[in-house]
Amino acid sequence: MKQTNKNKFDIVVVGGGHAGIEAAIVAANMGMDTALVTMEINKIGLMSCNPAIGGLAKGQLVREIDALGGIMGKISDAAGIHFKMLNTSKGPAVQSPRAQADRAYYSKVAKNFTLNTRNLTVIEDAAIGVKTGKNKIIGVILKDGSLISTRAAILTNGTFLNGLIHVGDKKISAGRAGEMPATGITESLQALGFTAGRLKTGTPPRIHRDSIDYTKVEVQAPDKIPVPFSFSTDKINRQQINCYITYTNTKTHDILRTGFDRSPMFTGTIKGVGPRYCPSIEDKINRFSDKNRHQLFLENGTSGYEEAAAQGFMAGLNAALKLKGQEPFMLGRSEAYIGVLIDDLINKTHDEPYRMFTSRAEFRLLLRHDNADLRLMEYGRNFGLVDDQTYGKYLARRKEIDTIQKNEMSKKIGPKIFNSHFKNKSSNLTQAVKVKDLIKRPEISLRQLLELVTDKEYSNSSIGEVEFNIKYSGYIERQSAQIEKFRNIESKLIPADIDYTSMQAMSVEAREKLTRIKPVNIGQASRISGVSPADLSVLVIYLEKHKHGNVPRETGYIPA
Amino acid sequence: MKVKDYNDTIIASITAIVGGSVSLIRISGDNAISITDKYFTGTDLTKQTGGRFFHGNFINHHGKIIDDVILLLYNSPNSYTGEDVVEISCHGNPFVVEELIQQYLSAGCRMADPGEFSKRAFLNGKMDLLQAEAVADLISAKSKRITENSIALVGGRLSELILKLKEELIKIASLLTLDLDFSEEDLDIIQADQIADSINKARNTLEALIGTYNFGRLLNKGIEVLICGKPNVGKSSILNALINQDRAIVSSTPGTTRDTIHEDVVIENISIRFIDTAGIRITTDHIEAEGVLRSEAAFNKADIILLIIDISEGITEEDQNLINKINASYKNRSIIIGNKKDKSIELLTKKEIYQTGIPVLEVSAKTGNGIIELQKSIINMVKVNTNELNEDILITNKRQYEILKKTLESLDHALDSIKNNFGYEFISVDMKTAIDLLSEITGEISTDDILNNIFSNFCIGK
Repeated sequence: MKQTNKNKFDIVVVGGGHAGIEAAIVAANMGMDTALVTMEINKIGLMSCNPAIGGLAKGQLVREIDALGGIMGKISDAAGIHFKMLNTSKGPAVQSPRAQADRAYYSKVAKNFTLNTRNLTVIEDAAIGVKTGKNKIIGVILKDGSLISTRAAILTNGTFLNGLIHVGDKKISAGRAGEMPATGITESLQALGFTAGRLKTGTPPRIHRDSIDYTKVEVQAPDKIPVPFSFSTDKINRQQINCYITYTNTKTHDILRTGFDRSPMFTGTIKGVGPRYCPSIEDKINRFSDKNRHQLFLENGTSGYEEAAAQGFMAGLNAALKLKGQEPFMLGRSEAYIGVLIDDLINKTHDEPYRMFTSRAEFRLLLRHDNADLRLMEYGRNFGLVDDQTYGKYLARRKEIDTIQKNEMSKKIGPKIFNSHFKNKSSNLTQAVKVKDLIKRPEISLRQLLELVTDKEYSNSSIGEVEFNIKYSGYIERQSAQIEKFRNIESKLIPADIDYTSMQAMSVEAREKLTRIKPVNIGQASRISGVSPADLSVLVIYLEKHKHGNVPRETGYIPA
Repeated sequence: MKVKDYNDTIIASITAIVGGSVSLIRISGDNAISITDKYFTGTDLTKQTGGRFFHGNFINHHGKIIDDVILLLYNSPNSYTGEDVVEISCHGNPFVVEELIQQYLSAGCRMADPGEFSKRAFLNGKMDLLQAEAVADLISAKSKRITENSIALVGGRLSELILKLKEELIKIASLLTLDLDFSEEDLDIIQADQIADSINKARNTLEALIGTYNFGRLLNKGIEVLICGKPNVGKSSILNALINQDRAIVSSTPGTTRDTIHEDVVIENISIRFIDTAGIRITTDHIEAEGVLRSEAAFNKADIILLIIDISEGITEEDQNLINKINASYKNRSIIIGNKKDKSIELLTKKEIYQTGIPVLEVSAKTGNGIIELQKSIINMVKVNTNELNEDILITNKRQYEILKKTLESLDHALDSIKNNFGYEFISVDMKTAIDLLSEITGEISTDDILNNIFSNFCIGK
């Protein structure tokens, strides 16, 4: 257990959850003298809810964090015990990796990463507030009143902030079962002018594995060849286990209904609004009352670890960049799910915990889990966060993709070979056709065609990348046209000194929101809830008319 | 050069400067009322509420009376533009109008750009783009049908239709994304064939709307009928006969160029311009280069071509040349008229004419015999050529038409995707494009260049 007398750092991260460890590690890896303050070192990276990482849209987030140089993917690969690629029956754009993890082991791996990172000091203590002066952070205040000075503070207390746990009709002040909540921080922020609210989430019951009758459940086997989250992992070595599915029946529903009067959600005891998208079993019975059975996964579900990790990573990275006097690193909606996440968090109103869906990404065809490295690894490498070996693998993949495109795609396949190989599966050829044209047939895969024209072995991921871009080129073109239009609007910068209050033609609500959020460009303004299209037009016209008076923002950065 | 400001107070005459006993001048903007008050003696306008009219003198800055006027006062947002507006009704004298406007200009106002009042109305949320465009249509409508159409559109009929269409598409898109996001939750959201059904329904509505454009466009701009034929076959008499049959709403503008005379007439509530090509000659040996060009242009531009032949003289070589020319290039939109039926006892029996398949009518401009049938034939031919459907709403505007066509294309892509069993994530791409396009039509997100483009086609004063 590391303890230290040091009380001055470049960056202090408060809270050792999934956001905290990403923030602390990336800040330290960027060369900042970093401290992670956590109430219990042994609970670093502990999964409070479902012991699973990834899932629809979330798997994409994990791979993006990994491509940039974050650690969630690496920990998951070490601790994952049931890997499953979701939506394999559907297209690559909606496939997402997911893994159940050994909860205890995950935390152990996370702790190891944290304790073995250079420039990172872990302080086991409770932080109870922040101290500021002249609009700058001075330090983080600990329970005993002592101060840790810092140039930047990142608060990643998450669900622990004044945490409240409801079990049936009992209410307990806690951050997690058996752990104290983080107190004082909220009040400290409120004193600075922040407003506080409360959100709610549920967690599934835990049951002992010996209490399950395995003869009565359906087996869900893991993927035969697990696809790792991290681009630096070659193979998953850990032994994999099965999961199981069973169903409720009408008897179960009846039993559950008898408890509605003690359900804190139904009786209105819970004052937060829960996630709409994570319906509890009471929710499901209530809302889908015509269904006589509901699925129960042993064990499956989603949490919020990935969203947390993404935010933590970006916060840590940008804190370091700011202290170094460099430009901030921002990702746009058309570049990454991380970009969608942060843009949404800033601009939308939040009545419930934010959960990522592929539908939130307008450009989901281009933001696939398996091209996260092609999109983002260069950034990670430039920041010095991606090691030589991983970067080398990435370069090799790029080269492979290039080779396939240049060498193989223009090769022709003759009718004789094609027809005998594909007999009934695809209509016959009467003359030789190029691979790149044949691949457009939905029933044919690129791997099958490559087998006919070359002995060279190519990796699945490279073949997949080439294949997707050709098979769906029409859609990609149209989506790219949408992105063009989108970027055009994003590039219309809004000057920092604009006065919304003078725009009489705009609704009062829009003027308030715009003044508060201060969007940097028209695109962002359009996504703010409360700004209607008519309001937006007023803004656009105003900007055009006052072009000569535009004061460009400090950074001049145009999110992609 | 002073950069034009969205906040300027603008002024323009909104009635035609010449003609009429009354002229109406509109001023819109922050200073509309305060400036007017300087020159209006009737009352202190700054203390008045909008929605009233006032009578008094309008003076210049020397105190001299320019005119005795009626003034209509509108307070923002209850005005055409949504800003403060003053409308001055003065005598229809161009000198009065000019001097009146001068006072405003010297007080810091500027002349309104074409369409600027309507643009401000749009920006202030008083109407959407479709309604604004309908206003322009309404003012220039050349037929009762278009007039009624424009009134409906100004009232928002087309906007309603588009909105409903958009909502349908959004509903479909939402179900698609719901299915994509919750494919693990074991809830049956929607099947592919249900989606195809919904898209087809929307597609059919869209297609019907698009189908009205040919006819709508023609009605909107007015039909052009070219009357041609060799000299002395009675072209002018036919022209007169066609006009005299109906009351002309638009008085004939002296549109006499060197080659053509035209007359505007309303037949069956449709405005038709008859163009008499008095000066165009075509002979076999000598064709003036310039004359050919002019005649080609006129023929190409015409919606219908009437070729007049004097029956009593039979078909001459010059007649034949014209028949051949028309048969070669303008077959579907031509009618051959055999004039002077009263003189000739024989029917036009030359088989060649009938063999061309071009409709032939025998008339007598002198007696009026056959003229009504001729008018009907013209209208029917237009309707057939433009596929006229008896649709409720007509699209008359090219911008709207182009966007609707692109929307249809997107829906067709989506249907293709379903046919080829592509996943919902692919169908979503084209649904998004379709929805974005429909938002573009009503002007939901418009850049300045788009708006300028649209409104610059208006006239000043709109």
